[in-house]
Amino acid sequence: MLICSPTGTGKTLTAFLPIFSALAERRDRDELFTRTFALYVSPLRALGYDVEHNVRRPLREMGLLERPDSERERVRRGRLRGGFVRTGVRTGDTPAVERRLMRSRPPHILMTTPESLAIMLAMESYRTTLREVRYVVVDEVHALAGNKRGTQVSLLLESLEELVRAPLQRIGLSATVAPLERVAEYLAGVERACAIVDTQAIREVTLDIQAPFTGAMAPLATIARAAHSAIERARSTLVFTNVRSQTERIAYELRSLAGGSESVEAIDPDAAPRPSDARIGVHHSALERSVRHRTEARLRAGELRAVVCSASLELGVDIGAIEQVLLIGGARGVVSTLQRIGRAGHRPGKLARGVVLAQDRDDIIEAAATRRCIADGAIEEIALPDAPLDVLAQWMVSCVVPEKRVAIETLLHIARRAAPYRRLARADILACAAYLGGGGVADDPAHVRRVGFDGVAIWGLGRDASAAFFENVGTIPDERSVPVRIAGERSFGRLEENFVDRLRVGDVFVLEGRTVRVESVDRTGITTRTHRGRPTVPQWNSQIRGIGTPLVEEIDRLREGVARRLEAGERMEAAAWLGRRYALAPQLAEKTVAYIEQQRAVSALPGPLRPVFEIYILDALQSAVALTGIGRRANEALARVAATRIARIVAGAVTILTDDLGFLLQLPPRARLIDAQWERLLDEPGFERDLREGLLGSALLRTHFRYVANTGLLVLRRANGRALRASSLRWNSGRILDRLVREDENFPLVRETFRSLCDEVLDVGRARSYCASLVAPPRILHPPVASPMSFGILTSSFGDNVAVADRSELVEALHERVIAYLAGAIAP
Amino acid sequence: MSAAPRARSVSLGGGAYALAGGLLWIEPTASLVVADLHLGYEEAIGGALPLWSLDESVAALERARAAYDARELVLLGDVVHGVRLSDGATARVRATMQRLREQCTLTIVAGNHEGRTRGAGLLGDCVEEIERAGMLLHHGDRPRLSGARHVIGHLHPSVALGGEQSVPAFLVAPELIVLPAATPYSRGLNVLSRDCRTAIGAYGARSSSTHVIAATAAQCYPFGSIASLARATRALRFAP
Repeated sequence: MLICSPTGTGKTLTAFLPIFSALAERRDRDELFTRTFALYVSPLRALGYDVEHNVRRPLREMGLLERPDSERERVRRGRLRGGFVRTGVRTGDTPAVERRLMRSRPPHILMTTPESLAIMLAMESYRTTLREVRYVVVDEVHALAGNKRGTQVSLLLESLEELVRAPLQRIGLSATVAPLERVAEYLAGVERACAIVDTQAIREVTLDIQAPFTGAMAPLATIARAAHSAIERARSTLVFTNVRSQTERIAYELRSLAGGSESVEAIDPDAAPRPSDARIGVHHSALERSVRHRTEARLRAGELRAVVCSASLELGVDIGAIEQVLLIGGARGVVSTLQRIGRAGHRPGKLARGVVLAQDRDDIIEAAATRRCIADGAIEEIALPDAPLDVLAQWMVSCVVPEKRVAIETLLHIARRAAPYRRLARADILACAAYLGGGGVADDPAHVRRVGFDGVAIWGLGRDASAAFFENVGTIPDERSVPVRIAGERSFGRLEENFVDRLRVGDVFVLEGRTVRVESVDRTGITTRTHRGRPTVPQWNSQIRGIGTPLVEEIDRLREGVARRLEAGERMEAAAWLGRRYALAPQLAEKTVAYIEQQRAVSALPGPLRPVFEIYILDALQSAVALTGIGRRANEALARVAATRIARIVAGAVTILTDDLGFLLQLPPRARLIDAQWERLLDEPGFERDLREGLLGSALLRTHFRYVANTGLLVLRRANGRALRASSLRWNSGRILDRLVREDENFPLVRETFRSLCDEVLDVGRARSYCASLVAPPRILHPPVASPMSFGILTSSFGDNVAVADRSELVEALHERVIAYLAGAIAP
Repeated sequence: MSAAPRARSVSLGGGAYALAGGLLWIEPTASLVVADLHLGYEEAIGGALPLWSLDESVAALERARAAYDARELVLLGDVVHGVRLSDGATARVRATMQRLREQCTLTIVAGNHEGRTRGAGLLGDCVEEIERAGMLLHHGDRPRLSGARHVIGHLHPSVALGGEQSVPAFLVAPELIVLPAATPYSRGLNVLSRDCRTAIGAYGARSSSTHVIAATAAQCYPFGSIASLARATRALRFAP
C-alpha cells in the first residue's frame, strides 16, 4: 500500500496502526515471540530515532510498551518478560554493544536505513530474527524511487521476500510524488497489487513573490535585509537557499543585521558570537551531524528565530511548527517548492505559506510559472533508474556472503521482480558475475575476487572476502569532507576535500556563519582562527539542481506569451495577461515585461524550437552564450556536444558553463569560429557519438565512474577498517576508467557509468529530442552588450573546464605555444 | 639545450640520450635505463584491474632493447610497487625478470618501493648504485652531493596539461638527470612545483639550468629550462 500525503498529516502513525493492532492481538494470544515483526526503513538516519520516539508514545499509551528499565535489568530478566513490545534502531551509528543485544533479543519493531538493512540481510545472525517479519514500512518513498539508493531498497525488499515465511505487507509513505502508479510498482515489485491512498490535496498552499529590487537584480545583502524584516515579523522562519555557499552567506548577513547597525569590520575578531547572532541557525549537509542535530533541536524548542538551510531540511526530520518559509531565488522545481513550503503550518487543514524572494527577474518568472504548475497539479515525474549494474553487483555479493552459493538464474529471477530490474538482461547479470568473480576483461584474470563464479552460480569466498562488502555497503556517493576547527576547540563544520585541496593558509571563508582564517591544513583537518573582514565564501562542489520538465515548459509558455503580445504591440495586454494567468502583481508583471522587452531589443528571445547564440568576446576569448531554456541537465549535455564539435575545428581546451536558461562556450585563446560554424553545433546527426566523446576525459565522467566503481565494489572506499584517502581514490579510479575505456568499453561498470550519467545526471533524452526538433539552426547574434538573459550565466561562478582533447594533442599544443612564446613569436 | 622541436631522441651530453617512452640511452656502455616501473600497481589499488601495465611496460621495454640493440638493461628502482604481491603476480614478475635476463645483462638498482634490497627475493640480485660512462646511477630516494653526474628516478617528474592531465618528463641539469616514471599510473610531480625544485636542489641543480623534456610514447618535447617554462605557462595561462 502506498500512502501519499504531505508532511505533517500523520501518515507515519497511519502506517503503524495496523502493526500496533496486530502486535496487540499477538500479545493477547501470548504469541509475542522474540522475533522482529515489523521493519521500518528510512533514508534518513536521524529519522529512525525520531520515529522510534513517535512510535513509542502510542505504544506506551496502549500499554504495550515495557517500562523503561535500566539496561542491566532488561538483560537480566531476558525472556521472562516477553509480554511487551520492544522497539529498536539499527543504523551505521548504532554501537556494537546494542547491536549484539539486538541479535539476542530482537526488537519487534526495528527502524533501519537501507544500508543497515543490506548488512542485516547478509548476516546469518540477523536473518533468523527477520524470518517472522510481516510488515515493512518504507518511508520517504519519493526520496528513494528515483535514485540508486532506492533501487538498492527494491532489491533488498525482494531478498526479504525470499527470506520470510509468510506474506509480507509493504507500506510506503511518500510526500508529493508523481506518477503514483510507477511509484506504487516500485514499492510493491513487479506484478504485485498495490493500493494507493492519495491525500495530496488536503493541504492548501500559497506562494507569494517578492522582488526587493528596482533594476535587474538584487545584491545578496538586499535579499538578506528583506529576509531579515520578514523574520522579524514571524515567530519562526525557515530560509531555503539553493546552494550551500549561499546558505552561509545569507546567514552571515542575517547575523550581522541581527547584531545591530555596526559594520562587519567593527566586530572584535576574537569575540564570541553574541546572543543576537545565536538566534539565526544554519543547516546544510556539509555541517557536522552533531551541529545539525543541535540546530534541529533548538528549532523545535523554539530557541531559534530562523534557520537558513539548503535542501537538507526539505526532507522529513521533525522540526516542529514553523510559521513561515522563505525561498531565496525559488526552489528550482514544483515538488521541492511544495516540500519546502510544506514545512510551514505542518498540520492538516492549515494553510502553508511560502514566499519567494526573487534575486533577479528570472526568479520572478520561475516563481510565477511554479505557481501556475502548482495550481494545475503539474509536477515533475519520477523515473526509476533502469537496472543499474553497480547496485545489482553489490546486491549479488550480499546474497552470497560469507559462504552461500546461489545460481545466477535464481538471482535473475529475484532481481526481475524489483521494478527497476524488470527488464534486466541475462547477459548483464552474467557480466557482473564475471567481473565479481575475478574474470576480468578479455579473459585476462583480474584480482577483484569478491565471489566465486563458475558460469552457473556464484558463491561467497569466506569471511575475509566478505569484508569488502560489509565495509563498502551502500550507494551514497562518497564525497569526503574534512573537519574544520577553531584552534584549541572541537570541529564545528566540514568542507569537501576537493575544496580543501585548493585552500591555502591565510584564506578567509565563512562556515556555519563564522568568519575564519586558515591557519593550517593537514590530513586531520583545517585549523582556523576567528577573523574579521571580508570572507571568500567556499564554493562547494555540490551540483545545483536543474529545473524539470513541467516548469521548463511553463516558463517557455510565459516567455512566449509575453513575446507574442509585445510583437503585436500589446504591451499593456502582456502585463495584464501575466496578472490573469500567473496572478502576478502589476509591479512584478511590469518588471517581467520590461525584461523580455530588453532581451528582444539587445538580442532575441529563444523559442522552444529555435535557440539563440549570442557571441561575445570575454577576456579576449571568443565566447557564445547559447540560450535554450531547456533546463540545466539538458543544457549540460548540449554544451558537451557543442564543445566536442568545436574541438574538432580549433585546438585547445573549451570551457563550458551551464544553467537552466542556457550554456556558455568559451574558446581557447586566439581561436575564432565564424557564424556558419556556430550554426552547426547543435545538429542532431552524430549527437550521441559526440556526447560520448565529450564525456570521455571529462571530470564529470571520472567523478561519476568513481561512484559507480565504489558501489559495484570494483574500487573499495574502505579496506582493512580504513578509509582510503579521497585523492588516491580519485586518482586510482581515474586510471582504472582510462584503461577500461581503452580495453573494454563494454565492461558493465563502464556502461553503467555512461547510462546513469546520461539518464540521471544529464538529461540526454531531452537534449537530443530538442536538437531533433529544431525548426531552424540557432540564430547567431552579436549583441553590443551582454543581454539580460545571458547576464546570469556570464556572472555565474559554477564553471567546469572541459578539455576535449587527449594527452598527446594537449602536449603538442602546449609545446608549440611555449616554443613560439620563448622565441618571441607570440605576445602573452 | 633550450626549447626545441620534438624528436624521437634528445642528446643530454656525455653520451646520454633521452628517448621517447621515457627511457635513457647510455651510448658508451650500450645501456638502456628505465625508472619506476611500479609493476603490480594494479594489486596495490585493490586489484580492480588485471595486471595490464606489466605486459605493456615490459613489451615497450623489450621493443626498445631490440631496436637499440642494448647490451644492458638497467631498472632504476621501484621495479615493483610493493614486494607483497599475490602468488600469481609474483610468478609473472619472476618470469618477466627471467625473460629479460635471457635477452641481455639485467641490472636492478634498489628502490624504496621494493624495500631496498629486500626486493632481491622477488627480482633477483639488486644493487644500491652503479656507475656508467662516468655517471652515478641510483634510485634517488637518498639524495647526496658528489662530483659525478647523478642519474635517478624516484621523483616521477611531469608537465601538467590542465585538469587531471599530465605528461611524464625528464629533468636534465649538469649535475643531474631525472628519468620520468615508466608506470602509466602515476600523475607525477609537477616540474614547476616547489617540491620538485627542492628535490633537485638536494643535488645542487637549479631551476634556471635544469631543462624539461616531456616524453610521450612516440616523441620527446624539449621545453627549455624549468624557469623559462614557468614563465611561459604563466604568460600563456595554460597549465594550472
